[in-house]
Amino acid sequence: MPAELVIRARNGDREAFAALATAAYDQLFRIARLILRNEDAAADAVQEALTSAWIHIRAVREPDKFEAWLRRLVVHASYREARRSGRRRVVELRVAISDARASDTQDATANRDQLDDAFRRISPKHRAALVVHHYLELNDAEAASVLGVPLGTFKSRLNRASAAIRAAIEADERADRAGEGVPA
Amino acid sequence: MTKQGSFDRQLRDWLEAEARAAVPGSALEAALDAVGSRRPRARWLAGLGSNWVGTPRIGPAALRGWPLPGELPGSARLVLGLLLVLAFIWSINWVGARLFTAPRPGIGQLAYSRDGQIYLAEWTGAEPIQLTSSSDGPAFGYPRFSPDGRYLLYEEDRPGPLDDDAVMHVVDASGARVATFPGFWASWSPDSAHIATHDVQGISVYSARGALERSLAYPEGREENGDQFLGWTRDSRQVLVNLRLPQAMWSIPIDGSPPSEVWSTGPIDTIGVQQLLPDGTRLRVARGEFSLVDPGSGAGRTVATRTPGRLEWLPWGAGDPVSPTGTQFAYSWTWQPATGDEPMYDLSVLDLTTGRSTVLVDPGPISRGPLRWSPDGAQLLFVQPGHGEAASSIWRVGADGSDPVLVVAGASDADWQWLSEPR
Repeated sequence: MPAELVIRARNGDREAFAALATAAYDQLFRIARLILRNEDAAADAVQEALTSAWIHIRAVREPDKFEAWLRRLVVHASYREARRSGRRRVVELRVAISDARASDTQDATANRDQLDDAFRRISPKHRAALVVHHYLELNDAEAASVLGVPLGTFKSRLNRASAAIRAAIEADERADRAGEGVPA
Repeated sequence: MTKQGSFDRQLRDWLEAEARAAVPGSALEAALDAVGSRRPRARWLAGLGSNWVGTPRIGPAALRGWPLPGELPGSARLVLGLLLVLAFIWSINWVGARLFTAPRPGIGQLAYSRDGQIYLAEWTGAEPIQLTSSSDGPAFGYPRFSPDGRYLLYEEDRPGPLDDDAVMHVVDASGARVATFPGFWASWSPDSAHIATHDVQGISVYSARGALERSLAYPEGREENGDQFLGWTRDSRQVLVNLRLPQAMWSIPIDGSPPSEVWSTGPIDTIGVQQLLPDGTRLRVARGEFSLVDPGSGAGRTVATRTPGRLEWLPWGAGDPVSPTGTQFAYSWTWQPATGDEPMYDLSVLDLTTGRSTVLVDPGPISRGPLRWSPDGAQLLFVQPGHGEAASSIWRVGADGSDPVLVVAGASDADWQWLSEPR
C-alpha cells in the first residue's frame, strides 16, 4: 500500500481511500470468502470492514501497518457476519468450477473436495486461524495480531484448527469406507 | 493425508486455489458507495496529535502563534523562570515518589499453559501438576493468579463458532473449581475481589467466586472494538479498557457511573493499560523517546531515547512490562537485519529513574511472549515464543540480565505468583 495514499486518506481524501480500498479489495474479499464460505456474506463483511476503516482512518498512525489493520477489520467483520449468517442459515450453491480444478486428476479433485467439505465443517474462528497461517502466511505474532488474540491463544487455536480439519477429513474417510462395506 | 507436512502443503494449495476461484470485485462499488455515505471520525477523537507523517500538532508547529519567551514582558519572564525552576525541582523528586512497598518474596508458584492444558508448579518449574484435562475439544490457557494468591483464573477456548465461546474458570488453592462464567481475557482487580472480563455483551464484572456483579457498557459508539486487555484502577473501582479505532483508554466505573476517557492517543505507541505505573503515571513512547507523563497535568518528562538504527519500540508481549516497584520497564527494540527478512527482537529493561537500559536476552528472530515481574522487581519471568517449528518456553532471568534459567520448555503462557508465606 503506497504510504502517500494512506496519508492522504488519513487526511480525509476520499479518492485516496477509494484507491486503497480498490487495491485491497480482492485480497480482503478472498479472506472473508475463505472464512465465511459464502460470496454474499463475504461481500457484506468487506463492505463493513471498509466502512469501519474509513470512519476510523485517523486512528492509523503508521502507513505500513494499514494493510494489516484492514485484514484485522475484515476478519472481525467476518466473525460478525458469521454470527448473522448462522441465524439466516444461508447455503451457497457453487456453480463455477475453475479450469484448473477441471483439469486435475480425480485424486486431487477428491482431496480438494474433502478439504472443501472439512473446511465448511470447522468453525469460522478455526478457518480464520488456518487462513492467516496458510493462505496469508503470516508469522505467529502477525497472525495473532490480525485475529486479535494473544500469541498463545493463536498457537493453541491453530493447533486445534489443524486437528479439527484433519478429524473432519478422517471422519469423512471412515464414512466413505463404511458406505463401501469396508471396515473402518 | 496423514503426514503433517504433506497435509499442510495440500491445505495451503487448496486455500490458494479457493482464493483464486473466488470472484471478487462485483461488490466493490457497493462497498465504496457505503464508504462515501459516511465521514471519518472527528480528528480530535483520534488523539491530541499524531506521529503521522505530516504537520505535527505537538511540537514546534503546535507552538506557532504563541509568543516566544523573549517577546514576553519582564514580569512575565520572571514568573515563567520561577515556574521552570519549580518544575525542575518537582521533576527530580517525581520518580522517587512512585516507589511503593513491594511484597516480600518467598515461596512462589507458577501457572502455565502447555499443549492446551494448565499446569501448576513450584516457581522453579519443579513438580508440575496438570490442572486441566482434555484429550480433544477445549484448549485451556491464559492462567492468572489473583493478586492475593488465593485463586487462579484460566480461560477455556471451547470448540464453537466464535470468540464468545470462551469461558473463564476460577479455582482455589486446592485446585477445586469455584466459578465458571463466559468471557475471555479476564483481569483481576488489585484487591482480588472482582474479575472483569470481555464477553458477548461487552464487559462483565464478577466476584472472585463467580457471582455476576455488573454488566458494564462500552462507551457509546465504541462497542465493536473492545478487543484489548482489561485493567483496573488501583482502588479496584474502575475498569480500564484500551479501545481501538481510534485508540484511547477509557475508565468504566463498576458502580454503573458513566465511563470517561482517560486519554486518547496522540503521538503515542499505545500498548494498553500496562503502560500505567502504580501511581497512575503513564509511560509514553513517541518519536523514539520514552517519557513519563503526569496523570494530572499531562506534562511529560523524557527518560530515554531510542537506540540509533532501531526500527520500532515494542512492549514485551501481553504481560505487564512495568515492574511492581514502578521503576523498571521491560521492552524490546526491533530492527531489520541487513540480511534476512525477519525483524530481530531483544528483551531489555529500562531503569526509569536513571534512563539506563540493559539487554537481558540476546536479539533473535522471535516474537514476544507474556512477561511477569517478581514483586521485588529483581527477576523476570517471560515466555519466549518458538520460531518456526520450535516450541515456546518459559524463562527466568535477573533484571540485570544475570542467571537466565529455562523454567519450562514447551509452554506458551504463564503467570508467576510469589507468596509471602508458604502454602
